[in-house]
Amino acid sequence: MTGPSIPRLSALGPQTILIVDDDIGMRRALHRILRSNGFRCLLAEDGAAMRSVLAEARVDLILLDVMMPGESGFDLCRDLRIRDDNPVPIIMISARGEQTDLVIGLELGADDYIAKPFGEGELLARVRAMLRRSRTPVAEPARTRSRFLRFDGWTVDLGQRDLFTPTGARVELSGAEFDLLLALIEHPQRVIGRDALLEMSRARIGNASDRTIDVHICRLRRKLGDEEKRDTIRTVRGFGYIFTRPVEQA
Amino acid sequence: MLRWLLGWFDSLRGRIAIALLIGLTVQFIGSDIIFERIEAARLERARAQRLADWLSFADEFAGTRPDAFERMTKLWQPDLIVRRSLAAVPEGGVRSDGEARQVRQLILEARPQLRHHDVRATAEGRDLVGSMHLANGDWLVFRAEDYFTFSSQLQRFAVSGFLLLLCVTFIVLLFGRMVGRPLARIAKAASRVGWDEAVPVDVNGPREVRQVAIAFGRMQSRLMEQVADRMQSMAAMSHDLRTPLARMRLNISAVGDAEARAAFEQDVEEMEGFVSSILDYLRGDEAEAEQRVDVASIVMTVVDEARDRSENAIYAGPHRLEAVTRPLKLKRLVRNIVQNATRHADNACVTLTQGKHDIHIVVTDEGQGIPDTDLELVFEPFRRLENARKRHIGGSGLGLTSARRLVERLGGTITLANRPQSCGLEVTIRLPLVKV
Repeated sequence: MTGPSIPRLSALGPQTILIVDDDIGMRRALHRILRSNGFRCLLAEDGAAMRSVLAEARVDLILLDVMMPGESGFDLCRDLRIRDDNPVPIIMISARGEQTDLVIGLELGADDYIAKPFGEGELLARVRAMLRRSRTPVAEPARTRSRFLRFDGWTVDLGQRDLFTPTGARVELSGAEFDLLLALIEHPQRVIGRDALLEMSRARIGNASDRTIDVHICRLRRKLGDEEKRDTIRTVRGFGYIFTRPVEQA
Repeated sequence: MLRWLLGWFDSLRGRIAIALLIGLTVQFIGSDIIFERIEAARLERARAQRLADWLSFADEFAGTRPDAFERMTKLWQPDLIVRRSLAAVPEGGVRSDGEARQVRQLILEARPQLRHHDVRATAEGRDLVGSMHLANGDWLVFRAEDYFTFSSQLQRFAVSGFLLLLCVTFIVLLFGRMVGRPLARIAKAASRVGWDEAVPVDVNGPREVRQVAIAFGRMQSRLMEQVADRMQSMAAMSHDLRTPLARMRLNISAVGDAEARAAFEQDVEEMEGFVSSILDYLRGDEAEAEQRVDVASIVMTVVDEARDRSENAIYAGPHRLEAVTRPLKLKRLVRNIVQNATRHADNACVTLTQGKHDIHIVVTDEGQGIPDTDLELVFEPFRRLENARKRHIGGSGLGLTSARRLVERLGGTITLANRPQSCGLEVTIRLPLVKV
């Protein structure tokens, strides 16, 4: 078993990504893209192959397909986290792109998910963001696994990735909006720059720029009923945003 | 009122009722005539008998006392008036009056001894007037008032007859309902077949109707099987297509030529749309719990998604509208309609309003609309209109079919209409507003 805190030396050489997928075409395509973008790739077609690769090589990130015959991606993810206590970052490749898939994956300890079908841009953005995050432990805030966060009567369910109004109605948020909200309320009353927001929101925003962050903040404000006053999420001109309300764990 | 009546005549039970009513009336009148005939003959005989009795009594009684005639008249009032006469009146004798002659015949038959008294009789309106030669040589003139009145049985029984007809009509209507209802149900079911799951048809009513119901059920299940087969193969295909599509998506970046890459991207996107619309249709049936949600946030999210794809979509409505519904289905529904609009008309305007008991989601576009005759057709599975085919717009032909399925799962309705002056299509979704 590799020591849990050791494999963080990746800045020294090309980072290694383990691709676990039963479909050979998928493996090849992922391999081609990642390799041509400067990553080192290892391939595994099932759980057994994955374990033997992990036993021999240092891996910085696992791309794990959910739908596999025999042991599914969920099974492998749970085994890695619970049985092997392996903290290596995992991005699940979800077949359906369903909310339930993603919730299960994240609850089992995956760090991110990417829904099929995805393009090269999205894949690289996720992979890079994940690797950056795992290199800089700052991005992992006080994630004391409390499941609910509250502000102003609103409730955020971290497990189900849901937001509820003070009257108890679920608010539909896009993946990017939820990530943004999460980044903001995990650091309440602190100014967060646009770049940091982009990074913390797991690069779920395609062709990300400062402008797109502003667009998503605007949408988030609208859903929070904060569009007029802009008081809950306040703009810090030229820099970023601040979440003004106190956030409590519950 | 007239319309209602006409509609009633048009229905099966209305016609059965009319047929029975006419038949019964004819039967009623016919039997009345026959009975009247029989009864009349019997009555006539009895009456003639009585008259004969009186006349022979008069013959015996006439000479017994001077005021015999007055007394007799008094006694028999008002039926028979008798007086003494010197001459047989009317002197012309019995006119060729069939009825009176028959009466005379009957009298003579009843009392053969009256043959010797030269009984004559004639009809005077409803009265019978006659004379008789008494044994003492006098002439007796008599007038039997109202001898020829036969009160019509029809009139006498008119009220009860009418009541009887009313009862019959009522019963027929009830029975007609038993016949008509299953038929009407079959018709209703038939009009729903095609874009929905199997419509159950009760097998009841008379034999022929039951046969129709059974035949209809079979036809329906055959049709459904065909559609299901088609769906099955589409689903299998879609599942099989998904992985190669995902691979293609990833491999597009390996294409060097930018133009070719864009073309590939477009094709892959189109195929993905096709696949996901089929999977959406199949997922329309999945169970989903009702939940209190912010409907506005769902609609806004869908519109924002479209905008992120650089499509021309706008949202007009409140920023919050809470209701109890099935959020995943609602999201798919709205996404479906918005995609339809952006695909066919390149733009979509979504408005959300709250009525007293329902929520209205209206999606309008500025496209060409669709011919009025096709407004219902587009809900059928795999139906794609000529216009869309020509323009090579993707789509599986299942979009609106699954939309309607989703709407039904949500307990609402969906209607399509062309906007005035053919400046686009307007899709209205009405959902029940359940507040908890």
